[in-house]
Amino acid sequence: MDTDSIVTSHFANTIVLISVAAFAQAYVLGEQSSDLLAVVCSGSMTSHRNSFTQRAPTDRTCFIHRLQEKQKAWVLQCNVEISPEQAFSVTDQVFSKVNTEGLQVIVLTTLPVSGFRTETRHSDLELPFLRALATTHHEGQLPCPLLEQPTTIEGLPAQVLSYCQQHKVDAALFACYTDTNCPDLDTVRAFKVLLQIPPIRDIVTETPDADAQLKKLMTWHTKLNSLYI
Amino acid sequence: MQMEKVGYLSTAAVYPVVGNDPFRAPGPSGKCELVTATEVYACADKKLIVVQQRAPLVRGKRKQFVSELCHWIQSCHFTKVIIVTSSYSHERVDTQIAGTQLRFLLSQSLESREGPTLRDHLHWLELERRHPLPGGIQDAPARGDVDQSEIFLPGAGFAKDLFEALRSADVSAALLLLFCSEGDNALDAIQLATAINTWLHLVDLKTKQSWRIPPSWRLQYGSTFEQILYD
Repeated sequence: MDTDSIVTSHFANTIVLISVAAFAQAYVLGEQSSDLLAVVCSGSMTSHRNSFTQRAPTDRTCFIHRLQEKQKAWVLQCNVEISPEQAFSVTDQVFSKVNTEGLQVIVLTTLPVSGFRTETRHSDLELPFLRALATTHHEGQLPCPLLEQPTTIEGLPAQVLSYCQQHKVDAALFACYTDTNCPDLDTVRAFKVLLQIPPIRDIVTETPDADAQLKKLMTWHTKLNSLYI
Repeated sequence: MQMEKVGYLSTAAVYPVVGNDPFRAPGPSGKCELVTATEVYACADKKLIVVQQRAPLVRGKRKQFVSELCHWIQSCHFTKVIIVTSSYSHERVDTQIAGTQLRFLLSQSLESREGPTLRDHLHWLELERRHPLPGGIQDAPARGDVDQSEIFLPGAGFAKDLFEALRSADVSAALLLLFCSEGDNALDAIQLATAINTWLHLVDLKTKQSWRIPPSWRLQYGSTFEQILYD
């Protein structure tokens, strides 16, 4: 993480970590103006060189945005793989710049349904579907069922939630289980239910063309994936 | 026995993992009881602390984790520390194949206090020392030959390193293990729990009849398979 670029702004009260870049772009950031606070550079893969200059929606980047209208809201838009080994370090560095008092954290991620353990046959599951986990200090209703045992979640989302649990932060994780290799339109739209709940509801400004914007973004991603053309 | 979650071990050495309460099926309240990779539970009545690790160690960070854990254990001044682990059953020598699969090791400081109880009263066996590898055909030990050379614990993770670190730090430590095969180890876990209970007298099994199996032990081999694949 490029720590030099982070101003000592210890007043974020909302962090939304989104590894579904298209959802962040279309619905959360949308037309809102935002400042680019930091870039997370894991350096694990040479093809994932991150820098402030890579601003195209399809670039493999991991940026922390601060919304100009809601200065206390940070959006960590992660479109790059962060290995589980690096999750502790990345989480520690991001939260070292934040005062955790009164903080609310929301984590969004997509996962393959093959990792979802259930007595129900996978062919009988209606995909995609959302499952949630929350820290003990989370307040408010969850808009989807809790993740059932014995399914677990690993990697960066797990580390962020663990950090929040250990530091008594109000946090919730929403995982969308899907059978597509890359998140498709339906997978991304499954998260739309979260636009009605705080704190996302409080930081998102409604944009009428968000659906159209999402379709455009998904088309760009599909064009890059030429396997089935 | 009711244990209360009292803390977490925050470390970069263990892979992160989260899930819902592994000890209870989700209730109607819909409240999430989050579990993380390494948690600390306590039972005030029994003066017992349990550390549960639910994810493997990150490659290259074993030494760091053992050092952190050893430091924490020393700072807590526990009366005794019991490391519970397993070892590959296919690595046994012939003399270990028959009979009890339970083995123990005691640090010097615990030997005088607990050694006679474990050996003479409970009739447990101490782990046999042996060469880790035959060292080639010429040096290979004869069948069933047990060498008094070192602690050989394949598949036991960092248990041996932690035991040796605690022993060096003069902490009263015991290592308890069962030889296990790969697969569903639920029965092995019950056997180990029963053995620990025989030693420490934590739960009255005569009253409680048997151990309660947590719901998270379901689906050990994954989700229900698609029958259509075999039609």
